Amino acid sequence: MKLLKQYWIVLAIFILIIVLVLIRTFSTGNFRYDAVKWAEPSATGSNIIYEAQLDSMSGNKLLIDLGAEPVSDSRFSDITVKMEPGSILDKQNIKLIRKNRGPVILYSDNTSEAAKIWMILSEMGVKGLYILSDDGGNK
Amino acid sequence: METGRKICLLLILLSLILALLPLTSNRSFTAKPHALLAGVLSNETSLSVDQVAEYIVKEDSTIQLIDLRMPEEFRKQTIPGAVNIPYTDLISKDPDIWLGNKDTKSIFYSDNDPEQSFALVYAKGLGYNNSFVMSGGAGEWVRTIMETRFTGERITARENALFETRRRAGEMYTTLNSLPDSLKAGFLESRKFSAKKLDGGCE
Repeated sequence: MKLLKQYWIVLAIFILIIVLVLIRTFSTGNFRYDAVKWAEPSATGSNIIYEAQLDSMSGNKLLIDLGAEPVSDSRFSDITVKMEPGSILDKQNIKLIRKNRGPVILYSDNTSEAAKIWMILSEMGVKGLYILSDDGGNK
Repeated sequence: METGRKICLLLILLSLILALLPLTSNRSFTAKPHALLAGVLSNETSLSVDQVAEYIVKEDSTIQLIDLRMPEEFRKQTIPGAVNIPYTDLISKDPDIWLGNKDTKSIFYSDNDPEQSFALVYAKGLGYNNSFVMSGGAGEWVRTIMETRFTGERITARENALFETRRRAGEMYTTLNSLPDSLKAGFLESRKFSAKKLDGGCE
C-alpha cells in the first residue's frame, strides 16, 4: 500500500499507456496492424468466390451490391443490401458489416471498385470478406 | 525503496515496449480510412492507356510502370519501360524498395482489374501517394494501342497526335516483344541492374 502511494504517478502513467495502446489496437474506425496479414487473401486469390460457391458457404451471408443500379439480380435480392461505394464507411454501413455473423460478399459490375473496397475493409479488420466474381471461375 | 524503484523502472520499460512494439514490428496502413476511400475511388488515380503510351513514347523518367503479373507472363508480353514486381512480392516484401522515390509516379497494371486495384489501395494505404493504375490493364493496352485503327475520312489534329502516339508506342512494344527470348531476358535483367546501380546517385 505504501509502495502504491509512493509511486502512484508511475502507475497512473503505465495504466494510461496501456489504455491508449488497447484503444489504438482494437479501435474499429482505424486500420489494423500488419497490413501484410490482412492483404494476404488478395495475393492467394482466396478472397474471390464464384456464384456456385455461394450455397456452400455457412453462416449468415451478407451480399453487398456496390453497383450504381438498383439490385438487378433477383437471384440475390433476398440477401442483398445496397451500399454506395463512397459511403461504405458510414457508421450504419460499417456497423451492419461488422455485426454480420457470416461471410460478407462484395458484388459490383465494376470489379476494380469491389477490389478497392475489399482491401480497405480487410485492412480495417473485417473478416470473412469476399468478392463475388461473375466470370464463372475462369481466373 | 530499492525494490520500488526497480518496479517503477520495469513498468516504464514495459509501457514503452507496449507503446512502440506494434509500430516497428509490421507495416500498417497510415492513411485515414475515409480519406483513403475517397482517394482511391476518384478518377485521379486512374490513367488511361493513351496517357501511359505518351509517357512511354516521351521516355518520361518520372514514371515507373509496374507489371504485377507473374514473370513468365511479363516476359511473354512486356510493355516498354515496365518493371516486373509480381503482386505477391509487392505484398510480402518491403514496398519501399520500389515505391520509395516520392518523385516518381508508380503506375500499376496487371491482366485483371482486382489485382491492380488491390495494389493501388495497398500502396496508397502505406503512404505511397504517388501511385496510380493503368485503366483496363494489359488487356486494354493491347486493345487500344495495338488493335485500334483510324477508320474515319478526316482526322483532326488531336486525333492525329493520339494515333501517332499509339503507333509509336505500338512499334516500341512490337520491337521489344519480337526480340528472341534470350535477348529479351538479358535486356529485362539489365534494366534491373541499372536501377540498382543508380541507387547510390552520383557525386
